[in-house]
Amino acid sequence: MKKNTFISILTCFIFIFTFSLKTQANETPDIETPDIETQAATKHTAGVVTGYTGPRIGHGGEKYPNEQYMTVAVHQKSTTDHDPIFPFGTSILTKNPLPVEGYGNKTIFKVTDTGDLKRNRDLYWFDVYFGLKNTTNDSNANAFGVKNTNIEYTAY
Amino acid sequence: MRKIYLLLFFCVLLVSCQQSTDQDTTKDSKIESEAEVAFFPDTEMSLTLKEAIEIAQKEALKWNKEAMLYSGNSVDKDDTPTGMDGKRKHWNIEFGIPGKTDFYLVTIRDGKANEKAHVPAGFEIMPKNYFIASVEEFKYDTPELLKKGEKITKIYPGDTFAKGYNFSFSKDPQKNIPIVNVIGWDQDKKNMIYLEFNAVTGELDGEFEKEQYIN
Repeated sequence: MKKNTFISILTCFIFIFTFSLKTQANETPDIETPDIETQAATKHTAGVVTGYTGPRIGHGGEKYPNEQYMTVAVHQKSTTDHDPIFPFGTSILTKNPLPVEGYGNKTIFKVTDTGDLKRNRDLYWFDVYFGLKNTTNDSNANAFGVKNTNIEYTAY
Repeated sequence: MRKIYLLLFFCVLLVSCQQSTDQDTTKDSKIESEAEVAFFPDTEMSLTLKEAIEIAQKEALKWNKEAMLYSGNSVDKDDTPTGMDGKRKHWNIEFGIPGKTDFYLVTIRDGKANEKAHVPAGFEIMPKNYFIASVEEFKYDTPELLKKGEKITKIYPGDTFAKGYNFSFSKDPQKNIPIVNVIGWDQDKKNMIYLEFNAVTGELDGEFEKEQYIN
């Protein structure tokens, strides 16, 4: 009888233990992805990085909001969704400095523009603003645009 | 034999009770987290430009005691337009050291200091007048500058690209004053509008437009 009681108690314990484990395993973590995860910096590779110049559009005298060699344009999410793939104000830090004609080596850029609305370039392409449209800036932008391929960067 | 059945029944009862308690606890914690969300709305995490700078500067000084403010801006990572109260949740604030090439970025996400990045050769060597010593140099903050901008110009919040109102700052090395930009749109949302304020006097120094979505 004692042996039977012992076996039954042991069975009960195994039973409780098994159920308790099952209950824990079945618990789906009901935690939303923390915001910090989505806000973290992300690493990408641009198939190509190009340069562009622009006319002084609108008004405002000599001042113009695009900053030479700093402003970059990125793709919109789609042709109809004007939201850029990286939000306005994102900092782009390239893994290696880019040799920028008319400036020197440059690592830091800022997203304040959108471009290539028809998506001719790869998704993580970006376009560096080389200043107002003139012969020198156009030439620098063109020279820059033909050599920068597979550029690794982090978007903050 | 009866004893064994009784014991088994007791065990089953125990497991059922335990499961029921677990479910209640999960429900309770769900209610608690919902209550927390309701109690702390998004605006709790929003910061004015000066508040963001204060947080970032503490982090930069931990990196290097000589670090000085260079420039910064809000980052439009919100799903909906914000900034209508002159505050944003996400900022990137940049620091440097006069006479050196170091660049230091402090990101603020959801109102708190987040990631930092140091680029040893990020800047050209610049003298002290290209940097801002402390947040005290800003006599005006973004909420009052936005109100002023809305009063004296026609500026509207953006809806997709650069949503709501965005803000940035830099130093005017010639005038030796910090500049704050209030960034919005025209009524048709075709041109971005940059309002440039002198952060010492609060006066509007410049207003310029930039056509968007053209290339």
